[in-house]
Amino acid sequence: MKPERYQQICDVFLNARSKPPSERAAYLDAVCQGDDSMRREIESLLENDDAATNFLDNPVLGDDFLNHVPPSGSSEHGPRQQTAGDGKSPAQPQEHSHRSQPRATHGQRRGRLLTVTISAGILLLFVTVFAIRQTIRATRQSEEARRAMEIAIQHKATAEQAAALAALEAARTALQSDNVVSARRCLLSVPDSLRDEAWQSVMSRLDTSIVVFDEDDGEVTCVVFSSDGNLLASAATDGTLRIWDVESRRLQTTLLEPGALFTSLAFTSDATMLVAAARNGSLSVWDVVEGKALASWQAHAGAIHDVAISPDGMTIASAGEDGTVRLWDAAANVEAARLDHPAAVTSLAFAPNGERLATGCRDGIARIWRIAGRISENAMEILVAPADEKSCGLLPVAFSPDGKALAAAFRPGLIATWDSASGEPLRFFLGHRDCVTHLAFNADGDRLVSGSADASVRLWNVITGTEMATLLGHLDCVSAAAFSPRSNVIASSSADETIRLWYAEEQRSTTAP
Amino acid sequence: MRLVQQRDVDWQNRAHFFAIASQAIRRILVDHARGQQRLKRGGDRRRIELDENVAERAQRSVDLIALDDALRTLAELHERQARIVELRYFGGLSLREIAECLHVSPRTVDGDWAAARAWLRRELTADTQA
Repeated sequence: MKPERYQQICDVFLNARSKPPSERAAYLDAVCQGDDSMRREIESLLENDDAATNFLDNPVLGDDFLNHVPPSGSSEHGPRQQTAGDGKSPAQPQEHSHRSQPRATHGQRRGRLLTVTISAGILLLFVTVFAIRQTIRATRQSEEARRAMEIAIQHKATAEQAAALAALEAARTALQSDNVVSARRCLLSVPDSLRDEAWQSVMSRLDTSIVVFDEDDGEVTCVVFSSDGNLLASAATDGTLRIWDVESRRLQTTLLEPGALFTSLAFTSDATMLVAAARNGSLSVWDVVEGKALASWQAHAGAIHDVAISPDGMTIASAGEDGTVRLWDAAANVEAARLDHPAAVTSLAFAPNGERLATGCRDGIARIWRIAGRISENAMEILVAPADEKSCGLLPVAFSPDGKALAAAFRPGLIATWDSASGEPLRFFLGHRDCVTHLAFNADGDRLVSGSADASVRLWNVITGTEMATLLGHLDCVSAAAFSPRSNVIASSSADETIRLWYAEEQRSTTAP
Repeated sequence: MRLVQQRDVDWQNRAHFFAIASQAIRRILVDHARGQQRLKRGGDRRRIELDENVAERAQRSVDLIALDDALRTLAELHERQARIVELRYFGGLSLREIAECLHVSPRTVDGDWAAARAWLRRELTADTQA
């Protein structure tokens, strides 16, 4: 039989089943229309359905089975008591018959008495034998029941162990493909009592981060270091900006703007101010020390995806869904220039000397713009990937610290570096299993860190293009990753509502044998 | 919101575990039953007597080997029905739990269960008649 046919039979069977028995024949006449084999099939299913009360209803090792066994064992007492009672009753007729025949002759009486006594004796013997046999049988049954129960419990334990082993194996397999979420689910499925050393060792590989800052109340959309590496700023979807002290790993300040959905942040070079971009198109400047908003203005018609401050601190650049990059005079918060793009701009990065700006646009092209005051020109276009159904809709870009290389990503899992002067590709970095959301170089320019929707953060050797470490721990899309300017610490933010810190150096030594 | 999510995650874990456990229980019990059958055919009288009762107890109402074979056939016809029987009979999950586990409506599970049960009963009784 083919599955389609079976499905058809099931459907008709269930319909027929929902009708009163008297209407079923007429229904089948109408539906089967001469398809005799189908009709026979459904009728036989209906017959079996009527007869199937309790069939398979009691799980084979379920509570029902285990609970069911002891009562059958306790019947040990039942038959015995009953037979003891039966043993008495035959003795009564003996007396009764004796009294009921007062007028009989002595010989007759003796003869009858003898017959009654003998038959009563035989009956008593028979009943006694029966009682003993019942007792033995009941004892044996209870033995069997107890053994069956023990074996059942044993089987259940074996099954649980087998399931735990299978779950552990599944977790290892998931971890091989960096799937922390699935690995974690497998591991957590193992009951507490079966969490052994092997379980612990796999569990410890699920999170290699050194610190977890828990935001609690919203997805973390962005994380940035201050230029001295002492502070870390994060933005969450609950309308908060948080400033963390990296050294003490404490929350220093919480800035709140209820209802705001911040998408990107930038520290001023002296780390006293923070510029925040929001999904509603507004830019705001915050005093980090005082913990208050200094200025706020509507910068774009749609969402702002990225914001950056020029190295000299004079210009704020914002990239919008409206297809423009706007340059703002940081002193007066007025628009100084506008860079038009054919589609939404999802990221931007200043070159270290501040003379060039790279933008990532949803049309699949990374552009390098030359900026001088109010005059800006499109200096170069690099086709990262044609915009099609395989593209991610994000095009993160990052300038190397010497400004010679531009890193960008567009296709799921594909990162590349280009010579920022000639536009020639330099290296490809393959490893992520989903869209790359953010890219950042370290201060020396020899390492690149990437965050991805695959929930991993990866550390790359810029020179060789090889992956140096897969930083696992986040349970959801990584929104941003950043290198501390002063140490080998990497920070990452994620939709799993946490910020994690990682040691890049430690990872380096453990992955390279 | 968070609490609901947490509960959801817990349930996901449990469902995942039960799915693996049901399979393991089925395999172990069926292997056990097959072992018994081999012993019977081998004519090793003494060992049969030793374990016979257990096998009978475990198979109280159903011939596990025949059920296993029938479930295989059913899986080819309707995989979800076979999984529902596995989760219900071997895993001991309620129909409501199965619905959550398989992300389908309780109604669907009810229908699948009724059809699978009737079909399996037919297959199993046909086996004994043959």
